[in-house]
Amino acid sequence: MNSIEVKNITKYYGNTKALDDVSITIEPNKIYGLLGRNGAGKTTLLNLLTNKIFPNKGNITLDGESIFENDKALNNIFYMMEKNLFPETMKVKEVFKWTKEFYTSFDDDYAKSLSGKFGLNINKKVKGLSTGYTSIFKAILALASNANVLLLDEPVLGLDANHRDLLYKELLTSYNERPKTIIISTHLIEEVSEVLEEAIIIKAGKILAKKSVEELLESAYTVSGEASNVDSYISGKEYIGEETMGRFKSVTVLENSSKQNKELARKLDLEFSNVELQKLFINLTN
Amino acid sequence: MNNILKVTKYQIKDMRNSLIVFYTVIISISILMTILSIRYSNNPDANVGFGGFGLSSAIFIFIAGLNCFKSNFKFMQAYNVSRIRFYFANIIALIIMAVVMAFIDVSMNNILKNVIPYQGIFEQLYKTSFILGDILWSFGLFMFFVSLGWLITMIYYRSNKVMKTIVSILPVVFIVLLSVMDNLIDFQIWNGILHIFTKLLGFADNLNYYIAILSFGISTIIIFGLCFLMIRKIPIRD
Repeated sequence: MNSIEVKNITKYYGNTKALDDVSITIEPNKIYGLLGRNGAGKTTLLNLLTNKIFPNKGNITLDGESIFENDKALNNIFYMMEKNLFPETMKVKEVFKWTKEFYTSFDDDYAKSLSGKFGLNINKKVKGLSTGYTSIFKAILALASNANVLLLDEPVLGLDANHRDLLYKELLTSYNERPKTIIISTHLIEEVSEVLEEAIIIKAGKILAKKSVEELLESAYTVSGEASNVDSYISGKEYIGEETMGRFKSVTVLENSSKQNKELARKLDLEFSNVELQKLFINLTN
Repeated sequence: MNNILKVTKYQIKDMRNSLIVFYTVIISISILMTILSIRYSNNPDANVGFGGFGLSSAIFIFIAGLNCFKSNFKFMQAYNVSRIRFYFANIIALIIMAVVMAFIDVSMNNILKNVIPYQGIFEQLYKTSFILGDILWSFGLFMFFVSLGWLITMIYYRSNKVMKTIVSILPVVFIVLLSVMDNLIDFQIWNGILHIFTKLLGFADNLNYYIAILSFGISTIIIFGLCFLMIRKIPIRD
């Protein structure tokens, strides 16, 4: 099952409130995107889910069991942190060996095959890896861990376009072969939106939205055309992200796309288009 | 295998190499001293002496204590090992290390004693060569030093830059102040401290090494208690 319940979590760093009474349920076997601007509280939330830090208030459970200092529960989770926690003098292949000790389902052959695909030299020491290859190395550990819950904090940090594409493909292959809960925290929203099932949008320590990507994209649409006509169309409607280029205007209307007034749009010579997740995110979090 | 044993296994593997290097050096020096001692034994003008390596072992295990936490704790956090299990695993690893070192040291003392004129630190201090006493005393001494190393590294790990500076300067300031006050009150402070240490190490009670073993044991337990208080909810730091 591996459902994660976050209940009324508040976390302070000194006087700064990083998370403010956050409650959220992470359902099993779904791919989530944890989206938020810098300092929104994404990493804090992931750190709390794995006891890297502890909340000032609230509790977190995995299948009803508190995760507080609970090795059994935490063994179901593999957290790929942005920070490197692995000994720098240790070789990649040695890290694979130790990961097998702690995650008994770790697939060494799969890890080696992924290393081959990404061109990661497993005889190299951790300190000898570039930023991109450090991300690849940690992502391989996460994928091969066969843990039921994967938390990936900035998994594509420093990766080139080819490697990013390969990582998304491998992530989906691994998910299809063995469904698991995956939470991806990233700033590359448009790229990752293809992979996500649900998006959790976090702003200033509060959960702004937790919806399926489909639902989020349907919750708004873009209308564009001659500026005065667009103004007529959006009159009385809630909208965000106004973009004007000369006489041309484009606006994101916060209304379910099924409610588009096609008749009026035809009269005003306006065009509808789907909203991009990134644009919606920028507008929601601005 | 539960996480405690897995972490213990890692900690021991991590300490193993430095332990091998240390004893390779110690054994090499011992062999060299043995050769020199035998070679010059009939020469009345030559005096070859070897005062024992017990103190070197204590310093080595103190440094091992200093190195047993930071990078290993971070590594275990990568695998979501709880702090409490890391704590107990570390204690087990340190006990194993202290036991192994106590056995090696006492064995080497007894081998050397049969080949060259030699006295280990225990024999020099307590004027007895009782093997079990030597093992227990060495184990107690090593446990005290290794736990002290661990405590110091934890204090530094938990401190910010200002606290680190304070923690580093404080012992020096304390000793200087104590010395100044000592001069003012007719050397009673240092004499008092010396008296306490003499009592704690059993020198005041007919060289009773069991008192020293007990003192080491109690000190180690107190230090482990302090380490426990510090490791709870400890964050990951660079």
